[in-house]
Amino acid sequence: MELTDKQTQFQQEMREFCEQEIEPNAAQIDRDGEFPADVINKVADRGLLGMVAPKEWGGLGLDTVSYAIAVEEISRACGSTGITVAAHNSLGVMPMVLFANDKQKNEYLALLCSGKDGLCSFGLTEPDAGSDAGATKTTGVRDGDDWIINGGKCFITNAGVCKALVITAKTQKIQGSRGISSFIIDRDTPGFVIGKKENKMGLRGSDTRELSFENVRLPATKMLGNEGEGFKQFMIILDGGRISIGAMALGLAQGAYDSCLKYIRENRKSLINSQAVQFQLADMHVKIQCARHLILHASRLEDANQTFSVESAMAKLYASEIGTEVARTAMQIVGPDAYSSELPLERIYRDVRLCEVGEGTSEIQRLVIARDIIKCDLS
Amino acid sequence: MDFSLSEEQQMLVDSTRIFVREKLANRTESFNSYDPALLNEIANLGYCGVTTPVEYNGAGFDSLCLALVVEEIAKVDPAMAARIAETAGPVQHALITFGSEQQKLITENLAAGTKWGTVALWEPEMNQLTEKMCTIAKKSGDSWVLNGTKSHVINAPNADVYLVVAAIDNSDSDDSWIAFLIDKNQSGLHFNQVTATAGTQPLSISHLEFENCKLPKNSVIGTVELGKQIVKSIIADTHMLLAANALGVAEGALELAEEYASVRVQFGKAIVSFEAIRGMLADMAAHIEAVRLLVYRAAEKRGDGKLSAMAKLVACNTASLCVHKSNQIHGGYGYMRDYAIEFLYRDQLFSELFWNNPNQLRSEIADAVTQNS
Repeated sequence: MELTDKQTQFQQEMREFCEQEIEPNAAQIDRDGEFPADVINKVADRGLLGMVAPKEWGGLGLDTVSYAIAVEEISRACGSTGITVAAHNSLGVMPMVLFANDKQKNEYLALLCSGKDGLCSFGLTEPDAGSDAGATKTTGVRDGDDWIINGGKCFITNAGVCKALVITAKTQKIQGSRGISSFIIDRDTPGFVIGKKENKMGLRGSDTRELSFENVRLPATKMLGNEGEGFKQFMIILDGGRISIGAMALGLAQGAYDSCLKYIRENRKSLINSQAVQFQLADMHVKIQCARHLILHASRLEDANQTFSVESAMAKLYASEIGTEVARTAMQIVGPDAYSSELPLERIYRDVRLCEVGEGTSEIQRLVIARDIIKCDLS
Repeated sequence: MDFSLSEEQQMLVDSTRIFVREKLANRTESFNSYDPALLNEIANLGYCGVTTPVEYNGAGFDSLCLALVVEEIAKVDPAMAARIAETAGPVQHALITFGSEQQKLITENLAAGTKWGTVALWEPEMNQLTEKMCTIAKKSGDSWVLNGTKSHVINAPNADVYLVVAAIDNSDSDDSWIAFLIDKNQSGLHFNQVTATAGTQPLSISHLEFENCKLPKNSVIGTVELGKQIVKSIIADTHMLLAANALGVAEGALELAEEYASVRVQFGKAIVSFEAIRGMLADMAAHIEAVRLLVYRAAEKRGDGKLSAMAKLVACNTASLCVHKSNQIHGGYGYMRDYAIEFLYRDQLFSELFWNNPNQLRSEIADAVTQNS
């Protein structure tokens, strides 16, 4: 199945934009570990902070295929920028698109899609609730017309650069994953503290932080959807988020492959005659294409309003695992030069590691896929 | 076949373990160089002269002892292990085996850890022996003049002596090599440190440049005829010790995974009780056990190019598998620089990418295998 003309044209535009405006900054973004505000402004100018939102709410209204293409192309140029845009769109904007009421949409969506007052983010993970996201300990207690939130979150992408976040809290004392609700919380809400920036292996420009809530008072109008729907909501959000993390891993893998090939052509032409290297390149190419097809397949299912939960899990699992493999093989072929930040390979190797962990570890993806195969609850 | 360590070897392992736990564990990411007090302690403990004969200030232990020290240290600090391996292994071994009496005396300082040595063999355009060496040594009267660039020399800014290999000018064959022992203060020698590396920052990997570097006759190691043999000895030693380094990294990664998996609780139980996690731990342990036997065998048969290449190939592959699985078991925490597995994940690349890479090792092994058939 081919891309439509419109999708192909979008891909070409994205490739050009990323090569000109993003890629030249990638090494410095990694080295400085600073949030790439200038690059994100350029991303915002092209409307790419509202890719997943409908046009009537200030977004670009792109289909999922085009969104995946954009995340792939951005990540091919710079992983830090890729995760920033992917998390903002898939985890920040998307919950508003799917679950916010019109009043909330009016207040937030156009603003978040413009990026003018900061990005959006999703606070789900907690120190003791990672793969076991249902074990959320952050609580929301009703107090008249308000909710009082207490607890904390960790590893929250875009936390320090956000205008608002969607967070989850346990609002009903029911066992297991039920009783979780989602809220929209503004950056400057009293009692809400955004912690220090994490020092990460890779994606060093991406802003990852802890959150803490101490008697944070939120009016009931900040609840997203109905009470107790939080778990169901974030399962839906993560289904889509997986496509974007898969696309990010794919872009990083493509970047590693391209960089390896460029190095061989420019610095070590003799390697082209090595059968071992030829076969490694062939294997890398096959894996990248497989990952791309899985991502496109999951994206097309979403665009056709069919279920895509298992397909997005497969795409994310495969793309992230081959992302690491491809980056490592590329480094092996290049040899000791790959160890230095003069080439993008070691950065990509550090960046892509996150893709096997973030938004559901590979183990959780396998669980999702296996459950579907066996059609019963395996937990 | 007896697979157990001798009493002497076991004692060395035990004491090294204590030293590593007390002085090298709990390292933080923020350093690029070592505290001189720590290096002094390492020198005093004799780690730089494990196999050096007693008459040259060494401990006179067998080569497996050196591999054991490198393995133990690499569990928490692969950079330190590599630094020690380089000076205690190929440099001193070449000097003791091929060097003049005067050069052998230099090993006294190296073995005592008061001086450090390193090897400069590879070049930007020469990453394996089948490629042409472009650093040229030209005879000029009684001395030699050296010109060229050596790449990816480990610990270069901190080393006091360099074992440098060059091609002999105007020789008939491409593999007429000559080895020199060169002092760091030698005029005409410059080094450029490689910008940021993925891991092992304290190794300060650098390129050496020789510009009309005039060397007296007595800086030649052995004789001109021995050049090729010296190169093979250096490569076998380095590959064997990089394999020991990778083995240590693999074991360090497994230890961290075991610790983390037994304290991390998800879905109401420690994640070590999940079959998928147990399977990862089992794979790591099984591979490590196999690699350990191969690495020890290569260490015992010091100088065996084929075994050393096999050990490096397999050990680096296992180290890669182990840091990856261990990092995966650590979940999001493994991505944070305050966790030891985070820097082991990056440091692992060192033994894999430096010296011969997997394709080159396969080629070397295949040569040896097909010659025997």
